[in-house]
Amino acid sequence: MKTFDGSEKKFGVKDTLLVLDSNEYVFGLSELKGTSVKLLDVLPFVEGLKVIVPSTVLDEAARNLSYIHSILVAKFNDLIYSYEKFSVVSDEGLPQSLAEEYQRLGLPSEADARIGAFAEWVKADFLVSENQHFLKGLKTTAYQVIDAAEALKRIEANSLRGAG
Amino acid sequence: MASQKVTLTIPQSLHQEAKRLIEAGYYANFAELARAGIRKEIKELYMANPSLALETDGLLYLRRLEEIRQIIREAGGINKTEEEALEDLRRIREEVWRERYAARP
Repeated sequence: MKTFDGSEKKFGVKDTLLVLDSNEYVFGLSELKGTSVKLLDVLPFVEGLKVIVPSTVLDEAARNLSYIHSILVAKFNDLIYSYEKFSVVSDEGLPQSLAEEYQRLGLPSEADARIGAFAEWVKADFLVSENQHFLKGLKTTAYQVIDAAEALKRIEANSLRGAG
Repeated sequence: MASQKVTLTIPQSLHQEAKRLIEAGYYANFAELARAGIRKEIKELYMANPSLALETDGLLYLRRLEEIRQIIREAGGINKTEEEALEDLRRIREEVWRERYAARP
């Protein structure tokens, strides 16, 4: 797991950085939502893309999958840790002030606010989520909040590039 | 994403079938259909014949992805609506947050 001190630049200068919310992993793996399934499927074919995985999101998704079958925790960790497109980053060092700022930006739950803040902290270009609290409630200019369907549209249109 | 332009020659009947699917709204255009078809074919071939695949990170990832999905299918799936699953995830997020951070000064 990587640590992040807040001063680091993007991991790859030209890479587009995505943070996927835990629901994208759960929906994509359990085949609950077609767009989330397809997003996980096409990741290997998208050049110039990196997925930053907050350690909290990794735990959330693994815990959810463990209710289906205990073996899935190890399988999910293997999937994420062994694939070069994913970088797991600890969110332990996330500044509390930034999390509080995201509560003011539309994520009143402190737990949600930490994920929103994390995306800014790692200088992500996109936060991908099916969670309406993020999609409709969050007002930030630091990155774009999109769902899997929008991410796929942008990948197809070759327009998954930085926010702004 | 870097891309490569490709010119295809296909049987007229296949072209007509493709046009029919595009007109019916399944694909935005022929390129999208072709990309989807190639991805599906690669994925299925490598799943069925792992020895065909070069051990690239991407292909290994696809096999692991399919293995996880198979385990979930065999376990009976998630058996929830999207909204129920999102509600579970909200609850789990709060649990994880409380365990990690709420007790801190």
